[in-house]
Amino acid sequence: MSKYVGIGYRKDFGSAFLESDILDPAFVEVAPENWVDVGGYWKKELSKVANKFPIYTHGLSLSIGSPDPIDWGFLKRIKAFIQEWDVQVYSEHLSYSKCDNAHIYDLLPIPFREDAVKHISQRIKEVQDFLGRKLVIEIVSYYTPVAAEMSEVEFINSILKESDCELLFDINNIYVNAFNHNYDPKQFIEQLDLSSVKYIHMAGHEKVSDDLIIDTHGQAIIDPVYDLFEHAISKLNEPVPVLLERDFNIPEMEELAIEMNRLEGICQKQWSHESCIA
Amino acid sequence: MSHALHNDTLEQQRLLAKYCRDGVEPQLKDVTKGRLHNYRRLVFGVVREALSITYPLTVNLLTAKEWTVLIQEFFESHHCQDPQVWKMPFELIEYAEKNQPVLTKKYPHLIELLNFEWKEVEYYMMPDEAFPKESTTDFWNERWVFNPESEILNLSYPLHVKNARFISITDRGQYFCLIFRQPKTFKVKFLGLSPFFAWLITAIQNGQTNISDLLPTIKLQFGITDVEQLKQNIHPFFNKLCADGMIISSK
Ligand SMILES: [Fe+2]
Repeated sequence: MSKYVGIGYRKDFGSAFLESDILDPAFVEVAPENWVDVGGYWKKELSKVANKFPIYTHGLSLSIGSPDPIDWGFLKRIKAFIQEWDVQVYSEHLSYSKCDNAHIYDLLPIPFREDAVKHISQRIKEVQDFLGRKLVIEIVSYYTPVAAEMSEVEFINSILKESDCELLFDINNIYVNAFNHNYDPKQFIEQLDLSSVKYIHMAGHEKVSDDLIIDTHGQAIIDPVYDLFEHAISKLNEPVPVLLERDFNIPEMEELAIEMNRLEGICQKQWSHESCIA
Repeated sequence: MSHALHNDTLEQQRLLAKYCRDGVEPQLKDVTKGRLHNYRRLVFGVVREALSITYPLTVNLLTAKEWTVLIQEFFESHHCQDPQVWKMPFELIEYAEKNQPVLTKKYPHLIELLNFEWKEVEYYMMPDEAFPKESTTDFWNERWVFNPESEILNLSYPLHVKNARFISITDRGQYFCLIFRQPKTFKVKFLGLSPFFAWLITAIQNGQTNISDLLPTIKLQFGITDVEQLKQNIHPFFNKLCADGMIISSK
């Protein structure tokens, strides 16, 4: 069984995921939006999954960076879901997906600005108070900055400092952003407040042109992202859980197992003297 | 709303979100040239996929252009309210009913078809209902105990038996279709009902009663006098509902 590496649970895995031990993750991650208020077949499958593995969540619709008010009604249902399934981690995205009272259903980039830092930090604190736990917030990939007045890393560090939340360190997103916006990912990591890192994501992406990568989670992780991962975790003070995200173009489980084993190997090499996390 | 956000930041966020909904390129500050369109493309891709998966029969009924225009206009002018993207397609029904007079005129069964397709998703996904502890053995003298995850759809078009593409205004009538989620397999079943069986199920359910007690009403309303024949008609229907998990039986 993996000590450090988990997998995003997909309905596409079907029953083979539970019936075989090809994948033996340390935990599984689900998007609560796909499971809240769901009964029938999928609820039964989720209970089997939850009986076997710890559940982590990665939310999609909190829209923490939105100008719109927080949807407390939905957050209440998320809270109930967290309790029902004994969820270990509730993570979300540093982005917005709702505006002018309309859901957009994707992650939009927030202007890197001081007023946005204040706005978001205040909201993160309110959410943390409501849930009675820290929010683990993810650095998202983006294809253009919008109306930025500070650097991305300043923006993220300021929010971490002001809101006292935790960081979901998505290494692929950092790689994608560095490529798309022409900066050095290692330098970015150097500047980032790594003391807040509680969770890592790893994924594949698609290079669509000479200067643009789209963060599809539809391909295998590429070597430079493994290298960046190894570099990044060497900077951390303690082991954290690592997730393999694969949302589209789901391959055979054997292929995912190869990726998970490679990640696990890197973690073991780095952290073998530490205790396990899940 | 938090007071921290300046008007200009708010405006920039709104412009980007609006662009994702309407596809009309906005004047945003300091964006990288040639990149913005990815957001509209990705966002609309998510919306199109969610709607197309939910409404395959409607996609098949409309021309490709009609479908695309419908969902573009929906996403642009309707403010999607559900934080769960798989539930969002439900909002298309009311939107189309209120805002798409040309389409609903051309396809008089469009709204009913959308409802019909949504029902399948709703039943497949809905939270588990508590099942009754009791069951039915004697189809004539006992009250039938129904699967609570069920309802009778009262349709104006025969959507459950005929390809929606071949349905026209001349098919307009009254049709009954039972929908339920099977307790063991969790599959959603549709079952066409005659007006008599639709009435019978409703009468048993509403009156908390059994067929034997309903007999006088059956005779009066349906002019049925041959009780033995009636038993022979109802019994196989009862058995089918038991086998399909619509009636909870001890058999
Ligand atoms: Fe991620």
